[in-house]
Amino acid sequence: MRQFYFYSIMLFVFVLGSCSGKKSANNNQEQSENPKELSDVTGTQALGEPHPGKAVYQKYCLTCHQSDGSGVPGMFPPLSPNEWIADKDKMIELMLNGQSGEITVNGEVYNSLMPAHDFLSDEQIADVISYVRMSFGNDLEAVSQEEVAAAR
Amino acid sequence: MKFINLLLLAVVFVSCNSGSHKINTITADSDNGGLTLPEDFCALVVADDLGPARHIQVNDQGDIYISLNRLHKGGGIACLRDTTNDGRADLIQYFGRHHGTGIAFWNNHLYFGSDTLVVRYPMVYGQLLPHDGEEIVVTGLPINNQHAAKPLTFDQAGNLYVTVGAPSNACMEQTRTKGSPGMDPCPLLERHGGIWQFRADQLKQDQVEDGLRYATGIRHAVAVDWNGAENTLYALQHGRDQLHQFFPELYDEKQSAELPAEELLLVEEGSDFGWPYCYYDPITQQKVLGPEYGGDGTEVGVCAAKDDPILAFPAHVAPNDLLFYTGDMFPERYQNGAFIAFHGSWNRAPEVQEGYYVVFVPFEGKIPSGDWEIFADGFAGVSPVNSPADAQYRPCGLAQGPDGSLFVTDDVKGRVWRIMYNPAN
Repeated sequence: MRQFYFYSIMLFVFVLGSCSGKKSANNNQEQSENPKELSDVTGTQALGEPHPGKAVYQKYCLTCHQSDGSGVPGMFPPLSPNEWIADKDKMIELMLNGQSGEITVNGEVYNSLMPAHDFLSDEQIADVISYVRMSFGNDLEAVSQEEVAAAR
Repeated sequence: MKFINLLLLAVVFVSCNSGSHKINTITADSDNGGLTLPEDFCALVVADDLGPARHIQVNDQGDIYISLNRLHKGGGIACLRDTTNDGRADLIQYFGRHHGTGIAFWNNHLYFGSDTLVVRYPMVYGQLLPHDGEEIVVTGLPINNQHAAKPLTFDQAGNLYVTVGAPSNACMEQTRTKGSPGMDPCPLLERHGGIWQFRADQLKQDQVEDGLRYATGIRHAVAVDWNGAENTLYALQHGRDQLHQFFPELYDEKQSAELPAEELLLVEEGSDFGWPYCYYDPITQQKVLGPEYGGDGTEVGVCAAKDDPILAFPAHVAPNDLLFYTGDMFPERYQNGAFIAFHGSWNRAPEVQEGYYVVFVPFEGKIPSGDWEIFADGFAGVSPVNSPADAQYRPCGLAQGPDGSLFVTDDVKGRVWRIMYNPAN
């Protein structure tokens, strides 16, 4: 029930925001109380500009890994802190070559397919990995275009 | 000796009450195991933490057999018995070296559909565990990293039906990659994307050499059942994904969340339901050409000649089991109607996820006589479901017990519910 009230309030805030046509700093603050929205906040740079990797994430990753990075049990692993996210080289390799078959992440088994995303530019790949590595509870250093280019 | 007497007494007590709608020896959980049900229905949790519980069968003695998606406690089949007649399983054993989804009884054997082969085990009356003498019935089924499950069912003429999903979204040259064209003809259809018929009593059958491709153009059917009253095969398709992601110029996020319909299929020999070339638009109620094959969201093209579903469900809700009800516990309107377990969506994001429920479809003869309705809900435990990981339980398998109870499995935590009708409550 508390959750229902919470969502009602969130909806109200959202409607208010869209009616006024702009998102006030206050709204962003309100949203940050929702753990689901934390990723948005961490993915937003100090000046309020969204991280360039966020748009790449929304376009190419969100469908499977979900808005909050929680993934799909048994199919697509979560992007919250895990041994794969921590490994820069592994992340670059995943983006360039994709991955298929059974893997274990944080002790849970996932079996599905991630297509190769080698059609993205070095910059886009660096951006989206950097975005993931600073979102969803992660606090890891960014990946550079040069690192992607070297691995490609 | 005392124990055996007690057991005998219990058996007699239950059988005295079988056929009546009173559940004298079994009390439902006060919260119905977390489920919301129609009036006069109640439920109890039969077992918990069984591992990734997929499909389920209940034999004449009430013993329960559940296929597991991964080996759990050393087995791929959970075998459950209630020795105290309270409806809760108190004897749980694990059996078999394969894991998978398909499971069904035929001629005193338990058939199991692993992801690459169908095996069977002899059943010995009164014994919970199947006999260890494993026999291979079908071999050489393709290994898929997507849509790997090989569900199965039997007709009354001694045929076995195995569904083989396609390891693909829409048969793109490069799987699930934006801009990659659809292959035409789609070579995957030779061994995937359909339902194959085999002989139930023949061993070591090869999919290609011995199997008959009974129906094609089905992307992935996890729910499949033979309707004995109508002598007809039915299945439900998991429809394609990612229309917006791959074709943002044709579909917005909302349309991508609502298209295409999940389809209830009446399957006849030679049926072709159109995958990967076509998908079913529930708004215009027709099959249209997929964008990988030049479709623009309205063009019909070759899809005019494909077979339509007999009922459409919301997109992406993932039908995972089908059961035609023949028990005498539930009221008349449920007779020969279809229960369908939906696993719930993942690919509606960023829209909220849907479909974590069991529905009922009334039937008259071979086709539905009314619209579908939610029968059991509340599996997810949260509302709305923003991400699939938020769902506490996800319905996956259905079975009918000897008294007409309806059993439902969950593959997140491995819970089994038993749903009963009891107008006295």
